[in-house]
Amino acid sequence: MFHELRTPLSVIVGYAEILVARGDEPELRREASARILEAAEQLSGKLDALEAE
Amino acid sequence: VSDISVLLIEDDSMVRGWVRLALEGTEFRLAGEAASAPEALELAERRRPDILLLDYRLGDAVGTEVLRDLRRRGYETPAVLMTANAEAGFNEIAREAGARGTVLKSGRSAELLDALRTVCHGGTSFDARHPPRPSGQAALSPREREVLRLVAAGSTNKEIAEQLQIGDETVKTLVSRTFAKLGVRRRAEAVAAAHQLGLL
Repeated sequence: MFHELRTPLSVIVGYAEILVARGDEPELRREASARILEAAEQLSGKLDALEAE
Repeated sequence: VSDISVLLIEDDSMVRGWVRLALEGTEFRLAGEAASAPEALELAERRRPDILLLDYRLGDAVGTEVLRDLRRRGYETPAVLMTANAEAGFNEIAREAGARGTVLKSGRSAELLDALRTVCHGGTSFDARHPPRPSGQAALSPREREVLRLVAAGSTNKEIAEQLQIGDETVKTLVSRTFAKLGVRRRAEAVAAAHQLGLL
């Protein structure tokens, strides 16, 4: 279970770090933001499922 | 100059996207991206990368088994194994499968690049955050791995003997030695261990 939670979290950290370093590139900014949102939603879904158990 | 080719083997598209960006502007370039074991074997053959970056839990397979398969086919390409969590004994599992390094998927590109650079320059880079294998556990021989796979598949000792064409007593010895090495006492625990090792 931890593995499933950790993966989207590391995706969020990874893209956030790239945003901090290269946020002035518009295309990259869009991609990184979309991925962060996607990973956060995935993480939220997994936490909901855990809570429901 | 991007002159070191990396074959990325990872089933999660978001992680693949992150690795792609993390390697941008460095000396590394992606030689290809594989999401499954068959794709990995095919791309390794076709692209002949300088280094392999393999996820441990691939969904349909386990990175260590993919690496063993590649080694059996004669590929000596240096490999780094990735996993999301720090796991006891992971460095040992990776080393035994033929990897030269491990990296945690922390999202920190410097950690990923450091591991790739060290391994590319002929060194080893095993992430110290993976606790060592618990004492009493030891590496399994190919025969013991085979026995463990069959135990996990629900085979009785007699069925294992038939399948491997060996004597009942030999099976008993192999089973007890395998359990001892894994630090397990019951078949159910062995199943969990087999799953962890990617033998299921």
